[in-house]
Amino acid sequence: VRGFLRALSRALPEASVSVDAAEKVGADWFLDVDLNHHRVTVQWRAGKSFGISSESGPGLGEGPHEVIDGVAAAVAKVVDLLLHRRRTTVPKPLPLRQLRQQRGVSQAALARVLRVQQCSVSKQESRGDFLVSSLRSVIEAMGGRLRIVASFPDGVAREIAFAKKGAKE
Amino acid sequence: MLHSAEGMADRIHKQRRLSEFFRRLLASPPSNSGTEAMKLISDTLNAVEDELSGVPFHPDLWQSDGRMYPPRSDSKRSVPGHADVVRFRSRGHNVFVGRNGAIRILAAATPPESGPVLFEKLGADGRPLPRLTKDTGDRS
Repeated sequence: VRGFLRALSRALPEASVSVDAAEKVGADWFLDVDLNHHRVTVQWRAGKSFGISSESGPGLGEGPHEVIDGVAAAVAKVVDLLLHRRRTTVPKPLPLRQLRQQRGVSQAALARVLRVQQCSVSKQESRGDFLVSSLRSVIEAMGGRLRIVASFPDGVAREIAFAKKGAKE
Repeated sequence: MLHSAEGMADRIHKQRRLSEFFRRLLASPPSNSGTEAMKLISDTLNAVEDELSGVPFHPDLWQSDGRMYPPRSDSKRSVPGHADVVRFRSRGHNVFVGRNGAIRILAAATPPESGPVLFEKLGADGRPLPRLTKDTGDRS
């Protein structure tokens, strides 16, 4: 947090920052940054990088809109949001290629983990249809976990649990 | 500071859910203690979001999934000069809860007690939370 504050004050000395420190170890710190009445909230929790949101909005208890690794990138994002009075929003669905790029994983690295050729990864990213198991492998190779959720018009949303290979009901 | 059409629709939908949460919270019997008040907040908000958000309950996610979540217990902060009140901070709000079960929800601001009051509920003793703005020394 100290590093972030130092870097922000160098980049944008006219911004005012209020620090709402966590009282428990491992809990979120909130840094409320204001420039000409445009506010950006930065959340920090040990091991979670920086969470950045410019839109407080009505969402009680909502997490940060964007999560950014590293002090320099986080400060650059905050400066951009403040100077251009931009707003962040709830993350939207992404194409697989963009998700991989956002996670900082190259096609070559993904291909190595999946033990396939790089051109297979490229083809996979252009596909409109997937086996659930293939998609799960790709997400897990990026360090994530695949969840598939069914949403219904009455507001009910349920995650689907797939039967394990060879398991009988 | 323009919102996209999609962003605006999301904001309106969430505002409706928040209003429904406030409506149900206000209609519930008052709480006898801070612990009871926190349980009431959690149960009421989770019920509203289960019914209306269309987003599954995943409180372990740090990044926003578009669902509203009750205050996390580790977000608790003490309120200077008010030992009988605690504050729970989230990105856009401060939830103040009294030992008597009274609740006050404010939009996040600096200082925290200066934000616009969005919701207020008395405790079971019929009393609201005390005035929390910083003491100016004016005793008149």
